[in-house]
Amino acid sequence: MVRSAPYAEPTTVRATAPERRSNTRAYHAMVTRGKMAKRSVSLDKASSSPAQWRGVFIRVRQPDQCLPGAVHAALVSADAVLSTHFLKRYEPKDLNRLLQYARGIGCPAAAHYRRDFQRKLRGFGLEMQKETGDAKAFDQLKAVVASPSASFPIVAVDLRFIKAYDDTVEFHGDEMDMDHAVVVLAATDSAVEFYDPTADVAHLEEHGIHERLDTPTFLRWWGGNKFASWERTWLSHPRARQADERVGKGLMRNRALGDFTGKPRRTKG
Amino acid sequence: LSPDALVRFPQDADLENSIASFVRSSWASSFEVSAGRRVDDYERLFSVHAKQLDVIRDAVKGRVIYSRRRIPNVASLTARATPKGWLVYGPTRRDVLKDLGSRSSATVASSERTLLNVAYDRLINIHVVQMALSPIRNILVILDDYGQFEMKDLMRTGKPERQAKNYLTVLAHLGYLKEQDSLIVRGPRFPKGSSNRKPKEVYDSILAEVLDQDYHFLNQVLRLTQMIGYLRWSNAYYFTAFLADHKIRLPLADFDQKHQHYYPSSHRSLFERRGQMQRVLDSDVLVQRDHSVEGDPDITGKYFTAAKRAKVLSAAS
Repeated sequence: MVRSAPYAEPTTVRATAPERRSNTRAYHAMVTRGKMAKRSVSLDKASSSPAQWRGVFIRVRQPDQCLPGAVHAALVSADAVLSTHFLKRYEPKDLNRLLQYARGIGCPAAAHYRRDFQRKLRGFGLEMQKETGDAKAFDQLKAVVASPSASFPIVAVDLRFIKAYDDTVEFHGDEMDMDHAVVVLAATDSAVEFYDPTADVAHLEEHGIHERLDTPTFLRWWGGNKFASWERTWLSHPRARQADERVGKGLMRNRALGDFTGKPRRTKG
Repeated sequence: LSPDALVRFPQDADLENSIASFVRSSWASSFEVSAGRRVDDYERLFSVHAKQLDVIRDAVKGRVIYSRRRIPNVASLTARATPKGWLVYGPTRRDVLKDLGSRSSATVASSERTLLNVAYDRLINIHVVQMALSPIRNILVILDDYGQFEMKDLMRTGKPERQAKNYLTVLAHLGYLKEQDSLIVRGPRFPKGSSNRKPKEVYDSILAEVLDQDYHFLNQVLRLTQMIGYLRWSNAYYFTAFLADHKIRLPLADFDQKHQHYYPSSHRSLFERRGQMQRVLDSDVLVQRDHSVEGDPDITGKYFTAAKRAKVLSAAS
């Protein structure tokens, strides 16, 4: 386990969010009541440290709620860096519903890029992008982390990843592979800083544990995920529209002109 | 796609991987699919299993325990070969989640029964529980003193008729009383000396008998909701400790959260929950240590042994 890997954090601070939150339950309660979820976050990727970002993300209560927690964090960062307002409309509990979260079971693996959810995102000028494949996966991950036009990326790891950064954790019961989602906040060739939505802040602080791993260890867990190795998803503005969608746009323009059959209006002569 | 089919795959698809991928991406990532069983050239059967996770914090050593368990055969999927490819039939996600919910409840209820068997003598020490059981004792005391009574006398106590009859049914079932003409008289197994014995002794013998007969008497027939409340709070601790596989010291906030997780209800306010929790902590069933709760060593040992013997975690299978 690496607790103090040599990692240079940006020193410039421009944030309104507190750096640490020891009372996560009260914070969670405030967020779920929607008092803080609608607050705008004035952080940016270039000048804000991972610790500052963690201060504005929320921690989830259920261990199987990692995906809604990670998607919420990605949305917080997307709203901040892309100037969108998705979380002014949707609260964390809405995300549970949108991502089909079921208590004790979790979410479908593809919940965050399902068509319905993508449609909601597009309404706010966002789109969930997904990449798989190991060729240059880490380089792409670093690019997404640093990109001013993308949220922080969500990566899929095995649940036992938690043991890699927190050695106080014990696993009991049936041996099995289980999914886990974390958000990568900083990535260099030497270390990766991330945000685990299920982690208990008080526990981390009490034991001096940092959400950080040396890069080889992180890559071992990321690539070793049985179900979704090297998978990374992030939010950005929608890509250029496909050709068939452009046709659809033309159709809408014709409808706006009054022809509800969708056919172009005939012109005289 | 046939209206009943969940999904269709091409004829040359790797069926097992395709179904596993479908289940993970459209049901939940915590489901896994076992190797298919070939029925004939045109049909394959697949079992779906669920993986559940509990996180338990132990205040003593400041450690976090991830308890994982597999719930086997939560759904069965049938793949049939058609000219258009493999059509997969089975329950919907909603059906599976509903079934899984009832299985989880069955596991928790099985743990409750096990705990009641080892801790009932402590539970009946709780004043509210004694109050709830007092009508039963009153019936036994009257029979001990007078040998018989009329049904209408029992009705005068103000208890609803149905509830009064439930008490009689339970006691008659145990052989403590019987109905003779219009009178209620002592049964062949009537515990003599009920009026001289301490209430606890009387309740002990009754509850021991009831538990031997059927736990549902308590819950369904007697509707001893007060006792059920205490039992559930106690079970929220002991079941969690069982999942962690040792006696833990659970922070009070986590204790409340576990209780809500096993017995979800939107009706209980924070004040109600905290009040009920405190009454359980004041009893001998659980021990309060600062801002955390610990199991009674005697009950913990007995419960762990009984739960392993009763295969509590297999109740969902």
